[in-house]
Amino acid sequence: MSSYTRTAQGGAIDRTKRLKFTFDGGTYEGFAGDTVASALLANGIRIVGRSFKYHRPRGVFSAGPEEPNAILDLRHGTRHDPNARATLEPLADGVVLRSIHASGTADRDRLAFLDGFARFIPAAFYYKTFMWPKWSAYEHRIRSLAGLGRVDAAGRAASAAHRHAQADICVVGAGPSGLTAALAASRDGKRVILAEEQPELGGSLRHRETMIDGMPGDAWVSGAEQSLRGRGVEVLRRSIAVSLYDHNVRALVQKGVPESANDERIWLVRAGRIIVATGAIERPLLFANNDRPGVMLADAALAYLCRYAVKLGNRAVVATSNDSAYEVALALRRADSAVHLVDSRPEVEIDPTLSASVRGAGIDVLTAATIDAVIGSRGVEAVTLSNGKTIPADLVAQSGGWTPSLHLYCHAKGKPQWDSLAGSYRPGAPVPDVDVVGAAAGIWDLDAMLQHATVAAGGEVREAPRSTIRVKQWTAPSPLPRGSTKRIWVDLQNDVTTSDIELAVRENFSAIEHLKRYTTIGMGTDQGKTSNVNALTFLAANASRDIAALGTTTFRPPYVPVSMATIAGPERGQLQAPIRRLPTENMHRQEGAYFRDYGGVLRPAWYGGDEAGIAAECVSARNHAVVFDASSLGKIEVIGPQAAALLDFVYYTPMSSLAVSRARYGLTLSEAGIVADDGVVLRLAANHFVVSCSSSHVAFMAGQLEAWRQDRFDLAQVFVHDATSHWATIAVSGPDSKRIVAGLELGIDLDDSAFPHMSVAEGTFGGRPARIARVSFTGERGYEISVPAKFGAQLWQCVRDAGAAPLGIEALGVLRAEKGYIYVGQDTDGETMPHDLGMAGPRSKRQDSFIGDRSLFTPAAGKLTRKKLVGILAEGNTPIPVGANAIEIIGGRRRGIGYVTSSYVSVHFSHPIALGLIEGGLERGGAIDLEHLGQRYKARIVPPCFFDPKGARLNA
Amino acid sequence: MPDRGLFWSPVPDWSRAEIQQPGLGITALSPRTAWLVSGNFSAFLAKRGGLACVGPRETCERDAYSLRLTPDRLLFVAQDAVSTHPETFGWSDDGVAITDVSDGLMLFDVTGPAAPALMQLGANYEFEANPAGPEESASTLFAGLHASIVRILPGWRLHVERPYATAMWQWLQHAAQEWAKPPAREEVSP
Repeated sequence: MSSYTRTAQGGAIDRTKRLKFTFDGGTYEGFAGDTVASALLANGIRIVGRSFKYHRPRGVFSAGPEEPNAILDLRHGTRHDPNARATLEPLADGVVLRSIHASGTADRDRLAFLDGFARFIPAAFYYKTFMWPKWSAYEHRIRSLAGLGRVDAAGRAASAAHRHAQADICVVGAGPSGLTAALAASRDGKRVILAEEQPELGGSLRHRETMIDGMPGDAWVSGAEQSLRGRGVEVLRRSIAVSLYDHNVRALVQKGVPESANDERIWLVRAGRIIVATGAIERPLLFANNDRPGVMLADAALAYLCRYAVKLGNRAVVATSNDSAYEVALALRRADSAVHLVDSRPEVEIDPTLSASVRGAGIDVLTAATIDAVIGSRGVEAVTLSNGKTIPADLVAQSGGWTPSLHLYCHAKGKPQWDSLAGSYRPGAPVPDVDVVGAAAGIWDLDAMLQHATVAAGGEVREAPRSTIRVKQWTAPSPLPRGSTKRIWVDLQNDVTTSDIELAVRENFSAIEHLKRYTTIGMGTDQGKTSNVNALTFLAANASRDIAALGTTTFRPPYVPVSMATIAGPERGQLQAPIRRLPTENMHRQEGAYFRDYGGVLRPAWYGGDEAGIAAECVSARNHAVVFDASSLGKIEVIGPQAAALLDFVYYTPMSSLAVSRARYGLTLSEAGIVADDGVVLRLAANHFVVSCSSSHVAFMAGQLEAWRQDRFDLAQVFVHDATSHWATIAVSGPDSKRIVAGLELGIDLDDSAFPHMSVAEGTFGGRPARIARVSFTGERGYEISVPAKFGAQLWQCVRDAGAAPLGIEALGVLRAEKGYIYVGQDTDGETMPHDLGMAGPRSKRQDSFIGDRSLFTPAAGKLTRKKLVGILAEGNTPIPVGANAIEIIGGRRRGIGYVTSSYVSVHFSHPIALGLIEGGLERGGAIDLEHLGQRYKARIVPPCFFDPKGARLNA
Repeated sequence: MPDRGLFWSPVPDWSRAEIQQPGLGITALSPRTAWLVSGNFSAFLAKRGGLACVGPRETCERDAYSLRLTPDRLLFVAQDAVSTHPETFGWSDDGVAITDVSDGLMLFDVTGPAAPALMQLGANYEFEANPAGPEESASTLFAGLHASIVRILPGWRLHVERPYATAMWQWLQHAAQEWAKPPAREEVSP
């Protein structure tokens, strides 16, 4: 029978509000004000989970975010948290809890037998054992045995939108130091945000006996809270600061948010200064079987007793290396527990007053002694001591000292410094605009803490609250275990023992980062909050190295786990990655368009019911006329006296020689000489160009032009304006296109002599400005008519009424491939240079500078074996898949010589055609073998232009 | 591949796009005139009655205003027809480049007592604070999308590229719905 009981009186729970909950199928009751952990303990539940690897029984270990064991699957209404930390979760009526590691229940775990094989599965066992035939053969089964809670695959937990807040000072932690700092910071009207991870303010003052300004700690907290409210301090409860980023941007996760389906919300707080008052986390001691249910941190035992009225043992052993646990021993004794206090320090090092107070309370004090081992398999039954004594017990409350919580300081690039006296790290050099105060700064005396926090927040020492209770030593180096043959746990969450560390050292993984990866110590969701310092201490002793020189592992955000749903906030579904919309989208919907995402733009793939319509669209384009929505093509205006010079520099193809009212196709390159984009440049006036780049490259090209403008041009002589969104561009193409465009009455002369291919003119459509460019991407006569976006649908309808059939992107892909026109990024790769595409002219002729010019003359750029664009004509009627590798066989060995970049069945030729990048290009000539997923194809290399190579149809 | 037109909801009918709920009003509108103006824009502003160039925390009139985008670029927005006839688009001899982007923008007016809170959801920026300086740009990220923002009392106006206006509208609807629920801060207080 469990020794855990709810005391008849006391605690900060509301006994008038009973809350029902279930755990592993059993029904229990708690009170408002309970956490899930305190309610489980109050119901006598010792075993709340099973350990990660060995499936050993585990109980509640702490009362805060450091909890390694009590992680549960929680369901409440629509909310599901597969890894809820019981110590941070307020109890709610109707909550359904399940243990997460057990096969069955936490109490009866069918996999508990694994612990019997522990000696055969030490650290790194998996890496060494499951190598043959391959790790993946075992991975699924092993992962199903381990891991944490299971995400509900059908679950779609939503989270509230992120909140943003600004403050002069943001205080993290509302313990004595945090409250004091917030009080001092808010005195002169500064905007202050105070964030506290618990539902109530006060931190340790809520369960430790203190006097501040003549008042008990909890009364002082109430007064402080009232003062903060009066000064307009924004107090965020249940809000954990999970990370601190550059420019003092801090991310908080706020829990208990009713409008959030998953109960959480992220706050992004930008503050002039951050005051880190995150306190310290108690360290466990190292002794055999220190993972048994009933072994817990001493301060947690005190918190459960004082805050939640849960008495955790009738026969308690309080084991400590410092003064802080003495108060725990006294409180347990007052609750009628028999208490043995085991202090690792010799009598002479212990404050005689403290010693006398516990002895006077009837507590048996053993000094210069440590626990050797816990006896009991499902809970504490007794402990054996270093002096050979055995003490019957049902609770071990332990304190191996305190570790300042330095995560935020370290996120801000602070370097912690080893404090050999305290046996832990404390803040090293200050970080600008980040102050660490209180226990987090390694200050343990309450009065000193209050003064330090006041000054850090801009106050003066005389303004600080005062405490008369003196604390001499709250932290000290943890005693190390003596050669025990039993297992001693260092990391409870990842089941890492001292013998695992010894093994790592023997195998020379003695650097802390190596140790972490070899043993997984500190890699759990608790991020080693209770294990890291003990691991360092044990490693240093075992490897005979100076602990100060070992360093620490990197403190990475977040401080506690944050669900992906919370990070996403409302950015899910259509808001996850918003897509650009065409101005005429709804018109295309009425036309029966089938949509796809193309380069971040939602565009019609084809019209009508199915893909069979693609062929019909191709036929219309070759025989009659089609209309295509090209609105997403770039319309970036380059304006000013140096506009031509800027374009000459940015484009591989020179543009300054372009006449007004003419258009020119051109490539842009990266500085490595690689083709970055292609498009058409229109010259509207001597100082006014329009860059019509690829739809998916508009932002890149606008950025490229602006960047080079600012880099090397007179900022008053050339400007870049992206006007893409302003225009709807409707392209009319096909032998009948001229008749259709003429019917639009655009006010321009369409005669081929006045308006030849690659010309541009400005006219009107329905009294609105219209820009007409004679360009083609189908190989047929074509006109691109741009009108203000609001009139795009009207123009589209006029063209349709005149007889043009709608054309989607898929059919355009076929038509352009028949012509050998490329899609940059599909028919080019990260090595393609312009001369690989047959555009060597500027490379050989240009004398001036342009982006990528020097890269075009490297030895690699001049290799004869470069992959070049070719046409690939399939033998037979089977299309060759995109990505198929071209191969040559030399001496019986296959070698890849390129691949297929685009592949279609040409409607015009009724035959599969493809484009590809092949070593040597056309010079290679003749037959070629291709292979894709084990399938062989035969084809011939031909020029990339399959259709109308002389371009006669552009004027047809 | 499924028809992505089924995933993405149609572009709203902007003439009817409006949110009215207690404490919050959001309306969508198209500008009559919106020009990108670069270069010597003091000459340009002088021609328009010495119109000031404002940032996101400065107040301006609804009829005509100029938003500071970069040190040498502004967005001129007007609702009057006269302004739609500048001397020229493109380059002018007084060193100004002008481009018409009137149809490229959607405007969203956010008003009401809850407007500051809604604005706070969209960006880590103190929209209600005093201007930081004459160089402050109205262009920022709001709800993860590029937007130019200006204070037009009694609220704010968001200028969004039309291709992303649907996404911004969806976000505003989501934020308005969320804001209509009880504030979290009161709920979590003991």
